[in-house]
Amino acid sequence: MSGSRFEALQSIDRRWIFLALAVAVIAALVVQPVFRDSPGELVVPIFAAIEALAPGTPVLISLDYSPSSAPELEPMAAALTRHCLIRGLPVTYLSLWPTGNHMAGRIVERVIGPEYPDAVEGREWVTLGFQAGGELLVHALLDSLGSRFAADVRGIPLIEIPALAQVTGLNDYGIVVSLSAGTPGLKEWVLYGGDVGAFPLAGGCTGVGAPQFFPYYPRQLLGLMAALKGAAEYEAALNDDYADRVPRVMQATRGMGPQTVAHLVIVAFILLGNAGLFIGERRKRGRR
Amino acid sequence: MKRPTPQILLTGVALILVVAAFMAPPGDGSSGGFAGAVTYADRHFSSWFGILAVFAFLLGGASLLRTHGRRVRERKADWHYSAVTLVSFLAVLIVGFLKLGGPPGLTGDPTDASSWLTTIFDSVLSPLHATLYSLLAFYVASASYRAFRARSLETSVLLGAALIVLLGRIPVGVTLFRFDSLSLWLLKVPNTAGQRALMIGVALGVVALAVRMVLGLERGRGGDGS
Amino acid sequence: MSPVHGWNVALMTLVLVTLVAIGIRRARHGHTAAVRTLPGIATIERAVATSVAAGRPVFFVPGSRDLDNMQTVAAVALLEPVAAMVAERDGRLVVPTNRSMVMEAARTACRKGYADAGCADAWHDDQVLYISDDPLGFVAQVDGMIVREKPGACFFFGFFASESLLLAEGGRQVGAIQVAGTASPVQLPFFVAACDDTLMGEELFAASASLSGDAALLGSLRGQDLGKMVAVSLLVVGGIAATVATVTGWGFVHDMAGVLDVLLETR
Repeated sequence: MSGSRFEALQSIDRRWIFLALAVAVIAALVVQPVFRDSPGELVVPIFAAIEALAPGTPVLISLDYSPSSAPELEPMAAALTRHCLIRGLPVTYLSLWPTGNHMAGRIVERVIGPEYPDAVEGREWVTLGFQAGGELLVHALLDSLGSRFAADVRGIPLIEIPALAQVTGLNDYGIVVSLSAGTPGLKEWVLYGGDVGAFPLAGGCTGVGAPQFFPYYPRQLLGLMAALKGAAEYEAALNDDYADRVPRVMQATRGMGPQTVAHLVIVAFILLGNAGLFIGERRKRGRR
Repeated sequence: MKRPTPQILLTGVALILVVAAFMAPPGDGSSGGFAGAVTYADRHFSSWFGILAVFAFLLGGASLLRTHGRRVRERKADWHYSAVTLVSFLAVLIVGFLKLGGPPGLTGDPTDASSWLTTIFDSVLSPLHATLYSLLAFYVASASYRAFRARSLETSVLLGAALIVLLGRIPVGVTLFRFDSLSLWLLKVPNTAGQRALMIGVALGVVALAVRMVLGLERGRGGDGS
Repeated sequence: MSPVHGWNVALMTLVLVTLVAIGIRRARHGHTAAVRTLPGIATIERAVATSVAAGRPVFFVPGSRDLDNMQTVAAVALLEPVAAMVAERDGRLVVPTNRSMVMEAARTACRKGYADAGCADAWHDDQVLYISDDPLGFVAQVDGMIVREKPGACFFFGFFASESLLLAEGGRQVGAIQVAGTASPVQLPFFVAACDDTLMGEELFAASASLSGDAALLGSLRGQDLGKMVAVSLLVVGGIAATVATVTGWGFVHDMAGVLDVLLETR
């Protein structure tokens, strides 16, 4: 191989990288390899906290994401919903993002409807939906949900909803989980909710956003589902304890196949670039 | 001071909110006096932001219509894109306002499964969002290829950390190299240390900027920089 | 909430505010502070000059969040001197925004920047555009504009989420000189990989003060640094006290570590 070829390894046209990644991911989507995961150190505390709640204890899930980040975060919402419904914990969905109502609708349509046909809206779950305000909304909800939500998305007053019978403010929830793709999201829940209130707070986030939440674990965040892998770990925990009541292969576990392939392609290109650099430098030194 | 009224408003509201954040007693602020004022601010200023945000939506919509309307009218370069923007904006606005296909009336849920807005959301907005977001994977791949080169000791450490985290977050890397614990350690210890240092610096920067604004020194908003 | 909730946070806030105020007051009384030149600031000047000389526009994106985000405020503050820089060289500035309140603030900043440069007549409000509140819709249009208008310089300052890499790669594709600045730690690696220079964390908040050269603003940076020294001192003392208390079991060191823990804990 000539020196120029090694140099070429250092400056591969980005379109070749795009093509290689696309081909690899499409192939993985077609073949659908399944890689089993196991619950990790950050996910176990969330699963255990929900497991420890007495039946009937309300749980709040804040769907702070949009369709773009749904592939990473929706599996977390689905897994948490399954766990709560199996355990008999009424779920409240709200959102700091305008797209939250639709995100909640998708969970109802894709998980609750098909898998738990006996679950009744208002009793097993309630959707309060989106409200503007971000951190100010979180702050206002601490004392009273009614200060910002007069009714759920169907227009039914909060006082008439059985799922909220025990709830006045955030402190009445057994656990609050924010599934967050950015701002406003988990950080606002930590700073204006969890730090000020007296309720356990956990979170889920995209892979890109994960590093910024590690400083909050474990004192300000009970646990953290980081990226698709975090969701896959929660699914693994569900499979371990409730194998007969949840699908065998769920969304995140299925998604880990293409993700694995994508990581390997990126690693391969990084190594190629460095091989070019390393061999090129050695040849240059040899010529001198 | 060239703009005293906005500056007085900014300073006043900022001070009230800071005091309220630490001192608001329980209740609804109806008790009167200083405690009542800060409690009222603590409870109700958040609602005011919601109202302001709604008017800001109107301002943005009006600006969009004006800017793109002029482009189309004057047949400026790339006016076709502006026409598409206008048609899309008005179509979604009308569908949403009239709650077409869904439960009618003021209390009708515009995001009901039967509404046209939901159909537009699911079949247009969702795929567009997913497409744009997935571009990130391609850009991350090419940027990683460019950035992670072992040219020096520092960049070699960066490269090593990147490979460990990339492989530690996938089952293959865990099975073959047992990188899961090391990857988690990198995220929990060195990453957290760096993040905390950045957070402390940013918090101090925010405090300094806030003080400059409250004192009317900062450019851009409120102050005139003089 | 109880009265004086989070007294320790209130105390720390008071200390920091006092330090910044002292820094400003001292600067006004002639005690000027030497501030290092941020490499990113120098690159901004070079990028504007190069872009205008090549007859290409300059793009300035003030983040993707509203004015209630302090990073957006810092970005708008920085926009004013950048607008003056572009106006002085008779260049064209384009400012895409994704919040209408930011659009209004950006127009005010640009108007003032152009007026400061003695070119008030050259400014048109249309150069600040409102695109969309939706971050990805915003990115799609700005990337399209970048590809069509081929700016010579792109500046990305303020809060960004996933938009960071999408925007910066767009600018890189057309060969623009790019400077970014954000206090969002997770986006910094993307900007570092795709831009020529990056203002990291607190540098974003210091940039407008540094660029203005105003003594009072520079004094606030001095106060900010004093605050950082307090934070670092508490960290070091706390770290040593906790370690010594664990290793030796000495009661008074344990008490000291306990006091620091109460002073600094948030929940």
